[in-house]
Amino acid sequence: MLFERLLYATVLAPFVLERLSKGSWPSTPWDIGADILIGILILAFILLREYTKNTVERVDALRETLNQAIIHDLKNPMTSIIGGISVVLEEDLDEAAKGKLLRIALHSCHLQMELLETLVDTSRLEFGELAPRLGPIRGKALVESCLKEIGGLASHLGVVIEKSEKMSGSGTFVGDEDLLRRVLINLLQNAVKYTPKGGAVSLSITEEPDAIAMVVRDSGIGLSREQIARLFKKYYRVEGGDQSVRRGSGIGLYFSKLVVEAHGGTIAVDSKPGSGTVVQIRLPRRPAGKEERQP
Amino acid sequence: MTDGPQTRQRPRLLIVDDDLTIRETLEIALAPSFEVRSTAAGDEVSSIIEAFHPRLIVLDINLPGTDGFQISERIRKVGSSHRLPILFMTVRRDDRTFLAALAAGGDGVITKPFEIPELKRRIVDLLRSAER
Repeated sequence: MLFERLLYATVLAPFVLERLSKGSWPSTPWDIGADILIGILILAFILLREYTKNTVERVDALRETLNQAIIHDLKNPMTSIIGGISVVLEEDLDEAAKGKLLRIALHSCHLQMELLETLVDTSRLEFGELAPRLGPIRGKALVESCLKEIGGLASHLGVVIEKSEKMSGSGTFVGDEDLLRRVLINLLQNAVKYTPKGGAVSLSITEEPDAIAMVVRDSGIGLSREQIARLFKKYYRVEGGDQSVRRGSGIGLYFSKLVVEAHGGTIAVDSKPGSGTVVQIRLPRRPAGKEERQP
Repeated sequence: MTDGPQTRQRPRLLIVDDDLTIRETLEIALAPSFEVRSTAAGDEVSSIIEAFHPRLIVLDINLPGTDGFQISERIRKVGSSHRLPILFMTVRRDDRTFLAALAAGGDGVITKPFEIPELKRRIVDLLRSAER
């Protein structure tokens, strides 16, 4: 602050001293115009400096918040891993309790790996270092494997799962099966977490003349227009829903968007508060990608 | 653990954390020494305190919606739970978080990840301090 005040004084001082030495103040239109121009330039400099300083401080604060969010999401699973194993090693517990703690620790290890892989792949997608590896995908098999993956979570939260698949011919389409599977599981997990007990979540894959449409639909709490606008931003988390199972990291939807766009596709959300949510992915029949895998 | 010279009841603990794996781990690990209840919902803490009468709360700072500091301040305003020991859990290690935890009415802070024996020592220390 002191430095800035000295800087402003240094800029203004010659101007003021010049006026004082003349012993008179501007009288001609030329003098008045020049003084006004100088005043405007000085004011613009001051305002630009303040804006830049505030912007840098806001960006730094945001970066710190985002770093803390990721640190939190990485350290939390470590608590049940380290905590659980420490008890098994040191405490006198029955075998059933030890088994439960080790299973929880193992599950947390998988969660940790999943988050790390998403973080790494997100970064690679952002820098164009990860392109979809294209190969044939059987629509029916993809739907079934995704629904099986989230079946446990849905059952735990009392949410019904429905599926449909409308594919013609061989029932296959082209894409990166691993990446798309991760995207669909992420969308389904979100749908289940934000759907109250007794509600329903569905996944459908439909073959259209010029695209493959994948739709995740839920009867959950829905989203406001403001939430939809920020939904695919990095680290954005929607509050509400059942966070008691696992709070989202805020990276999954951003990762999903990057994967879909890397295929040359689009992802869109239709929702209203209290009316459920529909997330639709449309992939071109011949998506963008890196290489062909043999079936 | 004993509740006092007349009983051998396990002291009651309330665990508040939005992470399911942490709640499950602490419930199983602490069960031999404590009677444990847990919740992810900060809004339920006051009603659980009234019904369950815990002797200590282990409270995560970073909860969705109402954070641990706000919950602690709310607890301190109620006469019956004014002196209830609160042990905060957090992933942060900085002095600012530690001071904020004390200012919010906490009696201690334990940093995640931690080993369960360390958590138990901290809980026992706070329970003994509360008895004096």
